[in-house]
Amino acid sequence: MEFVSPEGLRIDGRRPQELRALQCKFGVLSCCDGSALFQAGNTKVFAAVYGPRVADIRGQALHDRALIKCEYAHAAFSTGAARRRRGRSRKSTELAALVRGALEQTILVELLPRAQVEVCIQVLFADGGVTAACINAAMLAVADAGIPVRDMVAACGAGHLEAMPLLDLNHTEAATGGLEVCVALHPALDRVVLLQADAKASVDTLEAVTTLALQGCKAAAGAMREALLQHVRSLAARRGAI
Amino acid sequence: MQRDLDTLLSNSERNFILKALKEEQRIDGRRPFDYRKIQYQFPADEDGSATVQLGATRVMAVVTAALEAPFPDRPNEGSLRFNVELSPMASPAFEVGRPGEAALEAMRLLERALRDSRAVDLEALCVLVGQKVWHVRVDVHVLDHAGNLADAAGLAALAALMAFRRPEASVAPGGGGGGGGERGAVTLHAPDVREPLPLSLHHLPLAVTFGLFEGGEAVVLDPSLKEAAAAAGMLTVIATTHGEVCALHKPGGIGISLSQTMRLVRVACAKAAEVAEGLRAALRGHETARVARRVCRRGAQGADAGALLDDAAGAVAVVPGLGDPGRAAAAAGGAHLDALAGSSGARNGSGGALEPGGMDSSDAEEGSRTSARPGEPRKLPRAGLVAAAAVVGGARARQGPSSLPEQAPGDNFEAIAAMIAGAAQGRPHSGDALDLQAAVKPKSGKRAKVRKWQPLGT
Repeated sequence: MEFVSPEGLRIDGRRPQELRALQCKFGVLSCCDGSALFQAGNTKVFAAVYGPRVADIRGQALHDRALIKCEYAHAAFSTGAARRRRGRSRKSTELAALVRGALEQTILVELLPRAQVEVCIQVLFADGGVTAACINAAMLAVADAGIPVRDMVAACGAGHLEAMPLLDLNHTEAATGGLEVCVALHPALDRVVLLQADAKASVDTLEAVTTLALQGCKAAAGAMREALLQHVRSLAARRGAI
Repeated sequence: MQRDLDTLLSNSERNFILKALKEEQRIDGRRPFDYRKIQYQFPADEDGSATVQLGATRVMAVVTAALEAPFPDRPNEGSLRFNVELSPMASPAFEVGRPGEAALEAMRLLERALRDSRAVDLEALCVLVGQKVWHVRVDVHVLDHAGNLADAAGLAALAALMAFRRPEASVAPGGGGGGGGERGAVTLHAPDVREPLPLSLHHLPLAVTFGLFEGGEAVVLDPSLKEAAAAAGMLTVIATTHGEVCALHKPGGIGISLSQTMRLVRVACAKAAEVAEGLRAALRGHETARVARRVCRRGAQGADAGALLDDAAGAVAVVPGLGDPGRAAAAAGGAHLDALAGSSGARNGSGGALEPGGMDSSDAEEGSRTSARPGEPRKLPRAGLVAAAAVVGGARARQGPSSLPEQAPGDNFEAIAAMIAGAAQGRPHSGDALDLQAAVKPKSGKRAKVRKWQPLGT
């Protein structure tokens, strides 16, 4: 299968170093403290945030910082293969742990001792880059809930196909089993928070792909920041502050 | 798990660890990029089990395989499953019951290292497409948790997979009875009949974990339990021995720069090659002991055949050594094969390499044993019979074109087994006596090799 045509176009018509169209919506759910919908191409993820509030289980509360909980679920129709759902799979537990890990570094947990922040993530459509989309959606929902953060966290994936680094793989490209990297970045601090890589590759290839993913993170962060600002402006306008 | 680890560490201990680290010192006296001592143990009586000790962390892995129908979406592939058991025996932080998040993380890391990176050839596990494939399961039990479970579990799983032998399965040529639906029955050969097969591994993925401190500037390799509790983040690199990366795992934790990450990845590649060298040496030792054990096991099984051989053709087997004064002296070292067979496990690097033509050293010993026989009473020990059989086999093997220096030791044993079986049916031809003489003719350097077996036995 040809993943990059001689004209330099990928199967979905993008250039090798091009992100898919990003869409961010805020306040999409009403009963939670903050919610967001993040869309990258076809990949579509809902996130809802409850909290900060008193920890559900007293014994779990931490005396010096907030407890962050993360729930991940994907709809039965989200992937091509309709699968029986038998509770939480290993992969969904892993994904929830990854999002939690990224958020623990991002939210200023020291400011909220004994509190709990619960993040619920629902994948509606999985077309590659699910981990990154989950982290981005969770970040937007946390921002929507007005929880203090250290820096914005933005995530992006990249891969290596046909001896060429490709940004933001879709499902068809990711299913080849080649190298795939997912990076979460604090763009203002320029720190890599989360780094997941799979499949065998040389160190130089890995470095090239990770560098590309970092550029993708910065671009995604810019888009997310822009969407947030717009949302805040419209909120302010609605309340008559401007 | 991590939460409980925090409570293990007092603030002053934490400060001490961080302060010492600024001077590149660690609380257990290591340098920042040193591993703790790694030891391997392989139980004597089963293939596919390994215990790895990394400092005080101890992890046992057991590989089992079952011949069953494949998954419908992959009809020509076997499967590889991992199960990690964190029992309260290993650490008070672990709870009984369903695997927690820590166990799942360890399982996923093993899956990514060994299955998703395609280290194990799953297609080679197919016996009959769509009907019978090997389902391999790796159970990893943490016996003692003293930090860095990821590396220890990965190493144990890899060692167990490398030591694992599955029985050979063959498919009868189908369609014998006509155009029925049956395409041929699968026969499993007992390990005594055909040498069990190892798994085919494309590369050796090894996990190397770093603890990150102080904004990612200070780093330690192989963090102990206390260092892990004090660390602000972890990075696990799964690298092969050829400087390739199979997976990176940094689940949150403190942010680090890309350049620092890549530096650590390169360090991990170098370390993985070092660790793999130790693992290979340990496995060679284990393999040597295993081959030696097989010689004895054959004896136990073929005792009847051996007795026949002894009654009928004992003279043939024994006589050639008689006239040789040198062999009588060498006979003193003859008792070591039994002791060797009993030795359980090869400690790290203790076992020597199995030389090409590895059968020679045992040949020499067995030859010496046969030569000692005339002095012994009529009732012979069982091992002596095997030795005789081994000599016969050796003679046969040496005749054929298969006696190349690169020949696998198992091939020799096939010859031995064939000879034992042959002896049970009828007496050996008188012509064999000449071959035997050639077989036990002393070669230079044989006595040195006999001596080489001694330290293992004692």
